Amino acid sequence: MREVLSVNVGQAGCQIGNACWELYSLEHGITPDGYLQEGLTQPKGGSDGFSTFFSETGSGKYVPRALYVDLEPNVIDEVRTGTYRNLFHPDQLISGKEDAANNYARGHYTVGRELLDDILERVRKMADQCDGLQGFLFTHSLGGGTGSGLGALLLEQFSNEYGKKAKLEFAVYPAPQVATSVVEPYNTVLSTHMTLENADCTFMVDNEAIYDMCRKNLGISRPSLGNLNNLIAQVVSSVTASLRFDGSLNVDLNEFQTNLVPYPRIHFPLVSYAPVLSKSRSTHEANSVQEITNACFEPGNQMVKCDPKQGKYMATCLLYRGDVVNRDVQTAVAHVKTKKSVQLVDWCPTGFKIGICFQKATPTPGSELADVERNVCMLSNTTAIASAWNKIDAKFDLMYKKRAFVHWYVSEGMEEGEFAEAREDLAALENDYIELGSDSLGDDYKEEY
Amino acid sequence: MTLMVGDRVSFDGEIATVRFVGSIPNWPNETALGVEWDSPGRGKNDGKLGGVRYFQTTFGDKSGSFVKASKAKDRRKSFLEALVEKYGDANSVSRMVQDSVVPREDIKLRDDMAEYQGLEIGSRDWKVLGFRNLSRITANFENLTHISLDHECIYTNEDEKYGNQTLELNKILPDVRVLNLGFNLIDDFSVVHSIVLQLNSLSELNLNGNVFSAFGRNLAPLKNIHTLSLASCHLDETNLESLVSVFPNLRRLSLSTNDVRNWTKCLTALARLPNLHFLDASFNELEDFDFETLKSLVALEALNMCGNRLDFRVPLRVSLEKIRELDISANNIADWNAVDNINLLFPQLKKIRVNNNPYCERGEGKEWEDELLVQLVSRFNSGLEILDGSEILASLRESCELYFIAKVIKGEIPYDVSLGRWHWLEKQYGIDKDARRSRKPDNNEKLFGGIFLSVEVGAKLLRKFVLPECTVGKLKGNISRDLKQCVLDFEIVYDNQPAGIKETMTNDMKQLGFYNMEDGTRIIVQSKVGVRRET
Repeated sequence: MREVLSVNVGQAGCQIGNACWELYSLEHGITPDGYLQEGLTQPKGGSDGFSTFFSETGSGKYVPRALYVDLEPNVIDEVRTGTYRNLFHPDQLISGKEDAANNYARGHYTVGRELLDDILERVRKMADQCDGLQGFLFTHSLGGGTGSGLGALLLEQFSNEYGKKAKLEFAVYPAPQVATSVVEPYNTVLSTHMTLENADCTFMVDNEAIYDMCRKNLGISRPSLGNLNNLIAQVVSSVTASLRFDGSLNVDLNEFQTNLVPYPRIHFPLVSYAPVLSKSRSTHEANSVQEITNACFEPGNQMVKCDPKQGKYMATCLLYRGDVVNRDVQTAVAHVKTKKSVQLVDWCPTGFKIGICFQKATPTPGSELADVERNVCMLSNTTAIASAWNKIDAKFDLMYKKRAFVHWYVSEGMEEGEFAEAREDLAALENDYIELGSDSLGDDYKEEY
Repeated sequence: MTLMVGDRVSFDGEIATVRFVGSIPNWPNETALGVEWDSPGRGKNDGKLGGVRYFQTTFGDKSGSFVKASKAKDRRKSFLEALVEKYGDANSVSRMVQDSVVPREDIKLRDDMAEYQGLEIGSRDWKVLGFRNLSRITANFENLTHISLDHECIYTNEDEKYGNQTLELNKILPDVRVLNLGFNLIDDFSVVHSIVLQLNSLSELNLNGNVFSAFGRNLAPLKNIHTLSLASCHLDETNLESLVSVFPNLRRLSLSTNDVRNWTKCLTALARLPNLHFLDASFNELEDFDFETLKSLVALEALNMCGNRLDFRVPLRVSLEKIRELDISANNIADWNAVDNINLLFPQLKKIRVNNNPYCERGEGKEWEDELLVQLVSRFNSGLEILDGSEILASLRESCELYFIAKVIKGEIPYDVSLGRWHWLEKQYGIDKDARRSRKPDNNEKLFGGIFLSVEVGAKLLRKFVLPECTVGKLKGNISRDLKQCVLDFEIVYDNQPAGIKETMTNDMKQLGFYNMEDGTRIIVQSKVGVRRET
């Protein structure tokens, strides 16, 4: 019941998918070839929660409800030949022959569209196997060609075909440290414009923020994509934990949105995760509930670089995992209350939510992340995230002013007008955030001066 | 509760030991407590006040304070009390005490969610979800596998409230695998021992931040425990000896931030643990010690020594082949020589951390980071897979090593070529052994049709590479830079002995190709200083 289909698009999407499924398998006690670990009679975490992400075949084998899509074969071939090759059914891995060359237009119009029917067919098949599909979980990047172009295309098609089902995204926001092309701002703006209407909730993951976390908190001198993806997987796992485990915060995907998304367009919650600790330092940190809760309000633990002190919170959701009890959370929350820096918009009545999952997080073997007794993932819809759009828009403008690189998109059949249209849409989004942050009520209603 | 000397006490979460009870002139009408804080530097003195010594601190000059005995102290609890307060509800208590003993009123019980539903921040509600479920799970202590009772002010396992004798921990907590008793007020290790002895499933124990003053005698060994954490316990080598003998099957041990001075003695104590494969000795002010003693830890594979004062300045004759993982970040490693010594000492490393050492501070920026990478990758043996948390890919390793070899051959990176590592590199990349000493004329240079001239300056001989298109003036300028002399202060003479030609090159604009030159043609530099003076 309440199944969730994961759709991983493009190189970044597929690699994050790999890290996530490795983690899910570990957390539920599934071996890399899809069978139960020795000594288990049923998957960890209860069958109801488990079946939202895995399906069971007759032979006692478990198969992830996941689809991998990429326009070039390299990354998916790694899945086909890697440790987890037996976990997936070959039908779940779709790869083309010609890549998107970091070009949104190729992913969205020319090369991507050729694969579309094939993909939709397989999704239909997987959806048919579900008793009560509750929605889709996308992972893709915004900077690349496949992730941005084909990702947007799929979201659009799913909107038509599965109208009411929730569509959540984990979108990797480009960063200069791990950039692969100069046109990343174009792809990001174009893709966001397309998905703004179609995705219900987008969790952004800024490569720069993750990169800094790896360097500062985990002490990794030169973080590789693998290091970044392992950390992202931990975050995704924390967000989905409430869906995957029984007897915890029993929310479904819709509930995320109801709480976090006050307006359909304002659907970019800021994700924070704590503790991000390296193994060698783990013995020194107490990691009390209060400490990890406070850490969530620190910019160093955010997945997107922005300053929440400059913005206002519209909604907040704290998802705890592991050894956490009521009393501790109460103290921790009471402490947050005293923070002057946590400012709330004046028009939103509630919107604070605390959830708990009894099952603690599992670190991926070989990752630098310490094995801790408890962690917390905070999803907060704050107006401060607008600065992320601000940054990418500025980069977009710099190139678009001179129409640089635009011909690559036009030659793939895109109209130049789409650039202007997308840019305007994002400007409107930035404006929306500014408007939401400004006080709307008279002085009588203000809490503080 | 009256405190006595030696008792542990907690004020607002900060733990101290009572060292003195009595009166001091400052507070004539009140009893004063002399306490020593666990964190050195938290206090104000070393037990001396107004010239009178009341007690002597052991953790440093600033770890002692005097407080009024009436100062609010954190409530001390027993183990069960803390357990019930944190995880339990009304039912768990009744299950536990089996009707025989009625719990007293003063134990606060979290019976339901009611009080949390209406939690507010400002005027906003905090909706709490899932806790009802969670409370139901944890309140049944049989479900608990991880117990964290850190910072709970636990001081004893005896409990008059529940009638200690009737309770068997093993029945109450049958499935507990991980127990955290960190930062409590337990001063007698036998208290911990008697708790742990009853928990049959327990395998991981965390005792961080408990300062024990008594260790018990003839304690039965706790064979199930394989992971033990004793960070910040103010242990020294003598205490440690009595502690570790209780845990014969330890696999992982953390001794981070303790007061071990005699490391050799400490390791001798640890040698009694035949299964120990991970040791955390970080932040212990260790200096270079006799690494040979590490060999007595037969199963040791991973060692964390970060935050110490090791410098590895002196080459060591030992090699510890068993150790695969090493953390020596934030030590005193000052130069590349020390890095080579580390490589000799730990030849079979797979994983190492060496960042935050003085040698990393000598440069800045991207280029310096690249150089660090090249040197570290090349100086450590090729079995190394992970350096400072980053994986070393085969392609990266190869380019680093080749670059390093080239730099060493050119003499730009000083490296002791008698090291085994260099022999390995030579063999791996087929380097000609003599290449480093006598450098053959570069083929690239010959390609341009260039010539090597022998320039004689008095008794000195310079080798100059020129192209035939070069002008005489340019050659002069070149020589002038080498001699640090003005071009007007000397002249150069073309000396072709076989042909019997000897000619002063006066026309600066003439190309060198005009003279019939080949490799080794002599150019003599003559000083003109005297001549100029005459005119």
